[in-house]
Amino acid sequence: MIKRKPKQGGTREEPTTYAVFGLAWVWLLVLIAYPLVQILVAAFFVSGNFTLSEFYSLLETAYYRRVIANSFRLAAIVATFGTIIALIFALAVTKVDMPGRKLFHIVALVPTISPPFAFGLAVIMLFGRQGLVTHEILGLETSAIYGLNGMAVAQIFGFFPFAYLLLRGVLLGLNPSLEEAASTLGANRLKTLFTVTLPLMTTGIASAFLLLFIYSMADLGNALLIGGNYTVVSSQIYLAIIGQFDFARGAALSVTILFPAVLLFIWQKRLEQRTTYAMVSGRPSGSSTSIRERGIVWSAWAICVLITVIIGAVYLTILAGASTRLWGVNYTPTLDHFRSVFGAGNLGLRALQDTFFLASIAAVVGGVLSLAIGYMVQRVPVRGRGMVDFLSMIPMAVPGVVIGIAYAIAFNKPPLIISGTALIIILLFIVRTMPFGLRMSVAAIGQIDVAIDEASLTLGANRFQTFARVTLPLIRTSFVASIIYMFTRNITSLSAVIFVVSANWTLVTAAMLSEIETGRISVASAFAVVLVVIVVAINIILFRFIERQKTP
Amino acid sequence: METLTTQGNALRLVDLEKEFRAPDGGMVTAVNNISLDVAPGEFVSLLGPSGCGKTTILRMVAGLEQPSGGEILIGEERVNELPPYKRNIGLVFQSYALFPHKTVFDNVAYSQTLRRRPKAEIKSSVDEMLALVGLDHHADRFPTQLSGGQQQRVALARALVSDPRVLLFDEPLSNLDARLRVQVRAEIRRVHQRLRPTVIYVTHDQSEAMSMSDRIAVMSAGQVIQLGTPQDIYQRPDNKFVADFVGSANFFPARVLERKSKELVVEFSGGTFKIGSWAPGCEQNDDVLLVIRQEHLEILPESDSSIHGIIRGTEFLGTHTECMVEIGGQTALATLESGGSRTMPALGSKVGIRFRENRVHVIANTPE
Ligand SMILES: Nc1ncnc2c1ncn2[C@@H]1O[C@H](COP(=O)(O)OP(=O)(O)OP(=O)(O)O)[C@@H](O)[C@H]1O
Ligand SMILES: [Mg+2]
Repeated sequence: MIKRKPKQGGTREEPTTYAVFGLAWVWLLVLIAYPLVQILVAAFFVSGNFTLSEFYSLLETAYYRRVIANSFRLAAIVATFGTIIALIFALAVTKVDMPGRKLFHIVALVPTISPPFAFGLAVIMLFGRQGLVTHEILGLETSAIYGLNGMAVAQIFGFFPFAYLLLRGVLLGLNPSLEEAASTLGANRLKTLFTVTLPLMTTGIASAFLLLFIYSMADLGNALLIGGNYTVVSSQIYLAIIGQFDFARGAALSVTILFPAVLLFIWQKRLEQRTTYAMVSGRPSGSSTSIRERGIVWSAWAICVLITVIIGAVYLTILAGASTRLWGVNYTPTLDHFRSVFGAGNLGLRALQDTFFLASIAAVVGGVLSLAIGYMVQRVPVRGRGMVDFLSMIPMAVPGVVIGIAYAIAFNKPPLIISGTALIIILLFIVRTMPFGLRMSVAAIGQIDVAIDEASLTLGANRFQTFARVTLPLIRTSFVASIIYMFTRNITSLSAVIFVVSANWTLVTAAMLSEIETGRISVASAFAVVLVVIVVAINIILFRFIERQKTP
Repeated sequence: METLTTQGNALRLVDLEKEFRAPDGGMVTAVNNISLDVAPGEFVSLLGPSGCGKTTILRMVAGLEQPSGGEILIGEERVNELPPYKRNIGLVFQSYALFPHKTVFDNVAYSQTLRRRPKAEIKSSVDEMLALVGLDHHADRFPTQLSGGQQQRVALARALVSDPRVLLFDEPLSNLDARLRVQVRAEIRRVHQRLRPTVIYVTHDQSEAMSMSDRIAVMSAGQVIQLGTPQDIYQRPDNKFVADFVGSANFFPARVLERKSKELVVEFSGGTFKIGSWAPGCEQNDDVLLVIRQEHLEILPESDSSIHGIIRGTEFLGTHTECMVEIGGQTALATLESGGSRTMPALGSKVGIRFRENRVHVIANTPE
């Protein structure tokens, strides 16, 4: 499905190489294909017979029709505004010569590594019934923020950074000589922007739009927090499973977003592919022409400051919530909430320990697996490797809720009963983050000249020796980075693992959610603060590490 | 120095074929039914224009590409089914492909450490090899700290240190500047004469092929057009492609009047010539081409020859002057020796042309 440049090499391989490839297939079939098939079975089969009755009853009910429509409407709004903001932000940060570019960029990265419903939480604390702005400052008793508006705002600001990163990559890859040519031909800045830059970016922009659409559709945390009466498919699935234990209904609902999400994902990948073709010059050229006209610089700067302030406000609000006595009622500073997170014998501490334990194992195993499969896909000429690549990417397309209940359904019955164990959480972590690890390892391995591998092979090293002695040392930085990234995603994820946590093994995000559900916003905030601090700290260390690797 | 015992094995390619799937779904024949016998210790060059399948042959011999048909035999053993790391082949890449994270010493020692030889043995053989290529003082450097020529010599040492049965070079000098190219070329030649590995050397530089090889295989479009010693290839090309590709040649249409056992009587420019060297396919009454190398076409005063031409351009090159001469409506390159009393002929002036019959070669004039 996903086309890439023709692969080099037609070597004959050892049986052991094929064995690793076989294991990759087993992995994909058991942990990705099997659960997804199970969800289809749950949706389409009643006591062994194929039926569409579950669907008919879904679609005949006006309520569910509205829920499905709600999901798509929200996704369309979020994708539209998110793309616009991301585009402006990306253009400003890459093209405009203004103070604070680096800071803007770093601040925009924080939402990509923090828990997904941080924004929902902050929106409630600022604009909710007991909100700081609505209740305290304006003296209103309003719940207007619950519903479409609140969700849209939370998702737009929570997700636009992903689109920003994508568009930034496109902008940096554009050949600056085209823009220079346009400006030497007398086009002014705005004209160059509209006649040269944007047209070159169309596929990139469309790709960013689809990405946000998928993210919005798959989001569970914000939907539960501030959805109010505006129910979307993801929250409805959660209610069906966790509230009513109605797996058939949950499965049928899942299918309504699974197929659109996968189709959009494939479409988005296609576009992304074309975007990279458009970047003829290949390597990022960074030093393109900077815009220095004062009018443009100041307005761009103002917009970036505004967005940065909004993002900053979110985290400050959460911090404030975590360190005051009772949000909306009593703003006296206190550390009680952190105590109740870290307190001995407390659920919070256990959740933290479990999360770290499970997330670390999953990140390391997932990192190694991504590397092995990435190497196969890039370097070992085995038939079907493109398919392996594609299948391992699928979980990126499948909304978290869907793969979560797929696991809950598939691994709660023979032949594989692992629900309630640590294993199921670890596996789900790995499956969900491996696409990212795989992309990173494929990209890193792709940077190494194939001839270096081939030199090793002709000098008498087999595939494993080549991998261990040549490939691995050359990509170790990016390998560490991918493990950290996977770890980060693991500890901040909610939508999938919420369906497989148990009394034995629980996670911070799940604990946060239950604190929110029982109205203990401050404790939830304390959890969020702890998570964000940890994640940011780890990423700073990682960044340092990478910088240090580069210098010698 | 008794550890340096490399003596290559024979290499045989039998009806070797390689087809690639083109992006549009069709098939591209990169190597078309090639057979080649290389004797142990022989140095054979594959010479041909870009895209004629040279690299593909090397990659198949190394095991990096599976042949679509035919056999590869190294020392009587069929190696088609062997993975590259079991073939014991040395491959020197155009891009050097040194391991950037290993020092020069570790690069060269790579194949030896894989074989788990004792440390002391590895050290002595690597040191010896580095000394042979003149890099014993750079053992601790990383590849990025070396010049291109030095990097290439590391690649050579790395390939040689494991006593490869066959040593393959893929345009190893094309990333070097002209002066270095000559220097490293001599180096490779010297090492070959010391160790006598069996070598296949891919290049599209004819002077490289001529100066180093025992035999040259001139290739075009996936086939070997002519296989022979450098002298054969240069002096007795089989056809116009080879004559043209190797050195610069002048072609003059002529006709065979008579074919005798030891010579060919041809008619050219109103005169008859007896020529002793010809390619297959030149029969009586055939239209043929006289192949005369530029250095064998001499310029004389007009009165000294019955063949005449008009000077269209001159280029003074120190050792000699290269002249563009129009002869019978056709432009040819001729040589005017420096020294003596001859002066540079003026543009447009009429001159005499001379060549010696024993320097002329005849090929069939087949339409291309
Ligand atoms: N992996 C591949 N897939 C498809 N076609 C290929 C592949 N490798 C080579 N070819 C084709 O096979 C033909 C021969 O290629 P090869 O690399 O052997 O040429 P070459 O003689 O080494 O050329 P050069 O002097 O430019 O290196 C070319 O037409 C090339 O396009
Ligand atoms: Mg080549």
